[in-house]
Amino acid sequence: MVYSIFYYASEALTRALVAFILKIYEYMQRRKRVIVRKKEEKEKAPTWGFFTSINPYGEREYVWVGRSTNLIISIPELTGRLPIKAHETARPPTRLYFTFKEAASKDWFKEIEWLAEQAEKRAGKAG
Amino acid sequence: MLLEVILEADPVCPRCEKLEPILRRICNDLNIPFIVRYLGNRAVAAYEESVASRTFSPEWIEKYGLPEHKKSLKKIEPILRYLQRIGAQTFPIVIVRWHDGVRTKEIVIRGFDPDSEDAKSYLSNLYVLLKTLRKVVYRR
Repeated sequence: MVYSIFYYASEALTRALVAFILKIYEYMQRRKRVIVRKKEEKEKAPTWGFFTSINPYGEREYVWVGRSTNLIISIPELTGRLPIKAHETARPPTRLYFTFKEAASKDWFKEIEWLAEQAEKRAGKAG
Repeated sequence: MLLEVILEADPVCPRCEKLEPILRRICNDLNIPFIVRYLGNRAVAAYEESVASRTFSPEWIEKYGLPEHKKSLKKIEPILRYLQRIGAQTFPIVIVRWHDGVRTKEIVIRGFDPDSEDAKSYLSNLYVLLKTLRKVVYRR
């Protein structure tokens, strides 16, 4: 009886000790975990397309560089509106339509005048 | 200041081919910008709303026309018949555009027949008109 108690106790202790040593050994043998991250590739600077730059006069300009050709076009930035009133599209243009025969007749200019007057009147009423 | 002459032409139109050098000469003479716009099959000209009005023959539309054409055929058939009867032309279209200080104005002239007797008076009328407009526009 006594023998068996000592026996089992010493066996359990030995087992625990061996297991402990093995654990330590395993822990020492364990490889360090290394997280490998993909290297972020830097985006290449574009070699063709639209670029904005500042010209020697200190004004901004847009530059188009061709892809397969050596075409380089610089477009200056428009800071203000063009001082041409005709470019304003606020009101549609007044149109007068004529055919070849009408344009060839003697009374064409009279007709133009009359039509222009009518158009002006209509525009005046509408606006 | 705006004064320009635009010629809307078809690449395969003999009338446009004859009108273009004459008009160019007039514009060069008067120092007026002259632009030629070549309109293809499906381009919409100055006076048109769609390409459906380009083809003048209902029979042609029935046979080869675009779906757009066929859709509006019933509606426009009498007009097409009329246009065929009077011999209306689509091209060339001369657009005289100018700005008189208040608004843009346009004169759109359709058709040109180089073989008719009216061709000379047509061109002289156009010359006089452009000369007058040049005075009006560049006065100020």
